[in-house]
Amino acid sequence: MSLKTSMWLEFQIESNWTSPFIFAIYNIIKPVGAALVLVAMFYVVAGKLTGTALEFMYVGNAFYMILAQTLFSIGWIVHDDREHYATLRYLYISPTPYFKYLFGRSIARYVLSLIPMVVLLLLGLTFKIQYRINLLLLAIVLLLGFFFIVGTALLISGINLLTARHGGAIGEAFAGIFYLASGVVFPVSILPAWAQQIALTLPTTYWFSLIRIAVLGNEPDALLSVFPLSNLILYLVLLSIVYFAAAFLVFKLADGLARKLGILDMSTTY
Amino acid sequence: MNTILLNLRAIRGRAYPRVIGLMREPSWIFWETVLPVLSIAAFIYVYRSLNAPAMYEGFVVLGGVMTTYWLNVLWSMAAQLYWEKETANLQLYLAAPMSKMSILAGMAIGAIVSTTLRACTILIIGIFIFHVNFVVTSPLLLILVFISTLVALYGMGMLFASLFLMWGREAWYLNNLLQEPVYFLSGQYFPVKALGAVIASAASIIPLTLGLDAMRQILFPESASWGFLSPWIELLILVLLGVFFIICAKYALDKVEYLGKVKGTLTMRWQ
Repeated sequence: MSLKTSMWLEFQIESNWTSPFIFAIYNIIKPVGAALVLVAMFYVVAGKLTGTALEFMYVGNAFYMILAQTLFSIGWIVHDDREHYATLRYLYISPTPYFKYLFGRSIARYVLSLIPMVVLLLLGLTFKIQYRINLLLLAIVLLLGFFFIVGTALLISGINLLTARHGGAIGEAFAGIFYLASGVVFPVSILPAWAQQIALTLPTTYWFSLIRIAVLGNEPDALLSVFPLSNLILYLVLLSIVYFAAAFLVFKLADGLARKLGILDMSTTY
Repeated sequence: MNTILLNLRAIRGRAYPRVIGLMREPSWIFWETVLPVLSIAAFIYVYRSLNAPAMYEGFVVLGGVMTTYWLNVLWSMAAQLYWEKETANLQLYLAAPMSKMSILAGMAIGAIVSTTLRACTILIIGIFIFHVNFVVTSPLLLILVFISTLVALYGMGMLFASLFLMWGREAWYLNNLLQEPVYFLSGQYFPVKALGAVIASAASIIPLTLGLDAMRQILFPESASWGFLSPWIELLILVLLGVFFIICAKYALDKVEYLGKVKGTLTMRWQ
């Protein structure tokens, strides 16, 4: 029940500042803007609006929006609850654990982020992107993605319990690392060798590879195309479990430390 | 006290915390230089994966540098009065005897100083890590375009500060909205001419568009064919935009003050 309420709260905070129509536009325009930047970059080099490289970056970017929007949004929750709305103390003394509350809000944010992704995929038809969608694989991949994305969101919330500022910056930092090192908009194989090794430890690398297989029907990245599908799924599952467990641990440690230091309800007016 | 002196002191007083804050909170070095570099690096690798000529990587670094100013305009200018309201400083500003424009000017000057340090860090990283080669064909024109772009940008920020205060909570969302779509319309990482004359002309209301286009032509002479307008014409338009935005900012600020007095809600939090 409390999970459902947290989800409803996230939806209200995100959307009740305006009409549903404007909220829908708002939710879509930002990701479309980001996608068009990449399309324009491709166009100025290639002189056309079709090609494998465009499909690679377009699809990667469309799904990256789920990750980026969830992490960025969740990055602000602790800061908002503590200092903007000043409700953190009431949330902590309520019967619902704060972790569960954050989990609920993360679910809602993740689901809301699926809408612009669908719009971007539809918009991709105007660029003649050849979709060969495997719905079952896509559903599995989105479910697995949910766990490590929400896990990372909780990790960020844990860090925010101990810091006065940087709420959004921490979320952006994580999203930025994933964007650069996971082959979202370019193949991992063009990164330096040391960066490729880092990429292979990130769940996002396998997630985006599986996304491309599920949506485009193939993996153009030379480094990742040698992995059998079963291995990609296995690595994603294992790394997602590790990330979620680590995130839970960090959150609990940060929560305990914040209580011990007496900074759980600090006001930094920042 | 002399009115001019009073306003100059107000400008200095509002700029001071922004400049001194750099020393007091050094953690910005990590968050505000590493973060932009992550996305800059990603866009550079996009161009590398497309086997684009080296100048395109320069476009990305230049765009990254100017992005720091745009983000600063959005979050430290446009949203600032709203945040001042939330932290109860706004009523102090309104009660103080100087022109409210001095507060906005002080905010802008302090923000330009602090953001320039950040921008320089990104530029240095771009040159030394990504080996971007800038060829300054006309230093004077580059300086004029850069300064005019900043004046126009921060003039726009001053205008937004009053408007966002009127709009309240929507301002946060509007700020979010003015990022990626503006990156696209202003040609942050690619020549804006690629968008076609109609879109590029409409996007020229954003000072970043013409500023970036002029700087690209000055710093990367081989990209001249991608230039939207002559850099001198772009400079002239930027100067006009700067004057226009500052005059509009003055009117908007007066309007906000008037509405605040009539409705009595100007300093109410969570609006």
